[in-house]
Amino acid sequence: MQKEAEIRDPLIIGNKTYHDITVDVARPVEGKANKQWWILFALSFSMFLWLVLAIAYTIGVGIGSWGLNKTVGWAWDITNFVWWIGIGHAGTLISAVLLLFRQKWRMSINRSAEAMTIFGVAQAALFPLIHMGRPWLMYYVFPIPNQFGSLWVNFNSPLLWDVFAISTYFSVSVVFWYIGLIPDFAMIRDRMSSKIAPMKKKLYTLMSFGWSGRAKHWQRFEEVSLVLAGLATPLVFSVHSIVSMDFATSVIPGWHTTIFPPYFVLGALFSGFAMVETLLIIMRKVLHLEAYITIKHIEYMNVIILLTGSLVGCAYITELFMAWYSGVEFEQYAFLNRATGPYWWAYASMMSCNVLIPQLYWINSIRTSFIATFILSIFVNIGMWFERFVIIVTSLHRDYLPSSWTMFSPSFIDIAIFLGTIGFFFTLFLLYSRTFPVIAQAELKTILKTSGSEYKKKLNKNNE
Amino acid sequence: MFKITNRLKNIAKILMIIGFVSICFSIFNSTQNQYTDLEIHENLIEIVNKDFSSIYNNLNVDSIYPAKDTADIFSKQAGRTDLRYMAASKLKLDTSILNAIIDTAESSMHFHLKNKEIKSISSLYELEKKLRKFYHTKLSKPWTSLLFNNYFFLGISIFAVFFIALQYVSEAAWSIVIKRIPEAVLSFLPYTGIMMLVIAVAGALHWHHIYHWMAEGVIDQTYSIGVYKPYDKIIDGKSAFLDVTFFLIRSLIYVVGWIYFARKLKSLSLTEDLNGGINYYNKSIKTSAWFIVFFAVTSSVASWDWIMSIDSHWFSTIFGWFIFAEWAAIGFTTILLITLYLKSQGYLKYVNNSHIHDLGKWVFAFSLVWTYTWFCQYMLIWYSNIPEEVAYYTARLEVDNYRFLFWFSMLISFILPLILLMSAPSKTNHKRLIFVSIVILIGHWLNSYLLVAPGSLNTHGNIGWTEIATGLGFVGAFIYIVFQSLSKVPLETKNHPYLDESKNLHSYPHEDSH
Repeated sequence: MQKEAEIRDPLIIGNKTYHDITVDVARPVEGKANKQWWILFALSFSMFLWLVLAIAYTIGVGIGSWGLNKTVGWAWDITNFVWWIGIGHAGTLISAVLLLFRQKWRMSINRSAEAMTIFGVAQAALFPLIHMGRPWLMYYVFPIPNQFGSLWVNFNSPLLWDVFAISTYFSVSVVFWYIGLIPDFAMIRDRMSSKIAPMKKKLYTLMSFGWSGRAKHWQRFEEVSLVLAGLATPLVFSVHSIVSMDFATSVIPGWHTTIFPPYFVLGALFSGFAMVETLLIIMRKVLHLEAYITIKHIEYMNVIILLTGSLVGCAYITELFMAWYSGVEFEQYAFLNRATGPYWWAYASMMSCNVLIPQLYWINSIRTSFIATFILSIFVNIGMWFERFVIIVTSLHRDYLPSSWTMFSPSFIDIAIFLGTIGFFFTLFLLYSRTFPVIAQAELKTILKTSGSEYKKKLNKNNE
Repeated sequence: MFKITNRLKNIAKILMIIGFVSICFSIFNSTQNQYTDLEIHENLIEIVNKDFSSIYNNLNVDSIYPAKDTADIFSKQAGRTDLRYMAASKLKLDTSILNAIIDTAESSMHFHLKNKEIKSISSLYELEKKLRKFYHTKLSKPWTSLLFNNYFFLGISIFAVFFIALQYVSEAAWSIVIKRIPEAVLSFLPYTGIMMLVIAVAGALHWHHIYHWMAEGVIDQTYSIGVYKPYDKIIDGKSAFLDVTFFLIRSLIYVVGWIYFARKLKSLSLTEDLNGGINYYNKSIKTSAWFIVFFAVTSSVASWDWIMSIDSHWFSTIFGWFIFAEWAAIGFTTILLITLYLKSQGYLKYVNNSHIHDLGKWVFAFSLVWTYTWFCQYMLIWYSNIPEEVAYYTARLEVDNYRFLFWFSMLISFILPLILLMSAPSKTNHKRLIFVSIVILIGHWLNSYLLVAPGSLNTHGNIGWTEIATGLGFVGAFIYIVFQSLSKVPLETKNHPYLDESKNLHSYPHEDSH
């Protein structure tokens, strides 16, 4: 059996048995929703309806309903797009990279992180779609045969690479998520009575693909998980690298810089982990999962946030330094304008939320506090939105021709769409938390006897 | 306890001698018949005035340099000059006269220009320019060889410190049984660190011309040698950073800081062996965290200083991370190679296939991360095609000496590990791992050469005996120092809280396949 060092903190708190884990994970699916859930759902769903209205208005009236103008032709739409894609990133890292790194703490959080990825990417995908103006013609973004018309995609454009990268990412994430869910769906299926809830039983039977829990099934399950992890790991890099190339391949000062791909990837992980924390800290309370999502899990994530935040900070400083060092006048002005121009407040928010505030995680008592972490994670979410806003709008609004310099201000519809996607995201996540096993219980059970707090105590006693 | 075999010791010594003798010989050689920019100018004046003053006929010097300005002209000169020569400098001269001048100069100054180069010269000014390049290249060639080899081994030895720090902060257990290997590798850091400082100081003393921004007059608008003005506006814009004193202070800070952390981490580990207790482990975590913060900043800035500034005009924001990825790739590969060597000698009995598999994964992963950063930099610069950026790649791709090496080094550092280390069993196949590791090291060694040579030697660089012998010398020194250090302390750590977990690592599912 696997051996675990004594000094490692337990990852499952309390005297839990295998059965307890089953019951705890199945409870939200089997039971009735509590009041808190309904309040959150009502709020999110009404924001979602607002989104539907705002999109309908945009499509009816046209992109003119947004705050874009002839100089700033890209603003909140692409900001929101990148923000949501970034949030999706942590899911893949947790599920794929941490699996390859044999990190046991991923098991309590990977399911929800992957769900967050998928819902986040769905929000992101909305933006290019509605930006097209005529979304029913969206199939032209794919290289489709000429019989459809003689329109052929531009393979040189990073926007097209984006289409491939994101659709690959989305499909691999969904498959990965679903494969992991199969044994857990089977667990719910087995607990469901066909007399009390025949439809539900049928549904979960269908979704669990005839899982039996035989050794052969487990062996294939683990094999395919590893293969998918191997495939998904390069995707952690590729997706946001290609998103960054939407900007970096151009010759716009502030956009064209070679550090963009790795820096976007790190920023995405940074924001993704912050969102995972925001969601999980609420979820562990609402669904009573305190035994499984412990402060140690939160601390590990905080360390990753501290690391990625500081590296993103290094990238900001590098950009700033190189703008000066390059001796290119335009590059120098772009960064001067960012920091001291009319959008200085956006730059200041970005710097403080992303670089300075995460430094608080050096302090042990903040790193190991749920409340402090929750507050800081909100700051990071805000800061990362501002980062994209800063990159996009401040680089565009003062271009090469001073006569066309202008400011950008969002319209009511811009704001409605952004807030609406948050509503949509939470609607999906809340529905998920009532119908899906939110913790990968089958996997979690494998570490109960090495990382459960009671088992650890017993083992340590035996060793002495 | 590990004991270094006599055979290995002797091989290391022979390699060191080869390296030392070759580098001394080539540095000595490069200083023979060496002329500074000013001496070239003065010698040419002498030659032209003596035998070729006919070119001054029909030259109205007074109208070009009116008498009232001469005081001003002479005050800006670095040394002696001649107004007639200056006035004739940019004249297009007859090929026959020019060839005669070149022949005379060649016999007294002992240079050698290729026919192609001679054909491209049409004036005295251009001849001077070619000669400056020739002597700079001649002077810098052995130092270039020293710099890129040293950079390569500096990377390996500083990465060993990072490796240890990374294990602590990530609470990793798997690597504890091989912990003594990076602890031995980092003992090479002081040597490479000091060598780097020597190279930096040598640059400041103009013993070589690798860092063009250190050259005389580059940031001085009033400095001239004849009609040649070395002043460079772009470099002047950077002069607050590219300042010799500041550069030397920075270099010293990196080297001293790195060595401090290296020694501290090693001594914590060794005292933990003797005394036990959780105290040393906790202290190591703290030290590691501080080291990582220090290293994150200094590794980037050091790479700008020592490598990027060779191509003084060029800049790339990813450069620091690209260099880090390279250090990581060669660092992991070296640790793996030493592990395999020790294993083959019957040491490291707790290291099983799972540990080897993990190391193999790191080598595989960082070969790809390196390729990723390589590609990001190359692709974005290629795509945007902005002259000041793309010049870096044209200097490598449009020069016959470098084009092949450029693609070849990239391919063998990327494609080969990608294909040969893809499958799980291959990462525990010792023979294959050794083969791939050596190929990766060669690939990155060639790439290191290309980071330096096109900037310091222009089109004249090529990998020859000096470069290879210096490399062998470094290999010898590395083996000698590292294995000596390995034999001084027990190969197995004691009292590390994760030691038991590491010994019982069984993550690799196919334990008996080899």
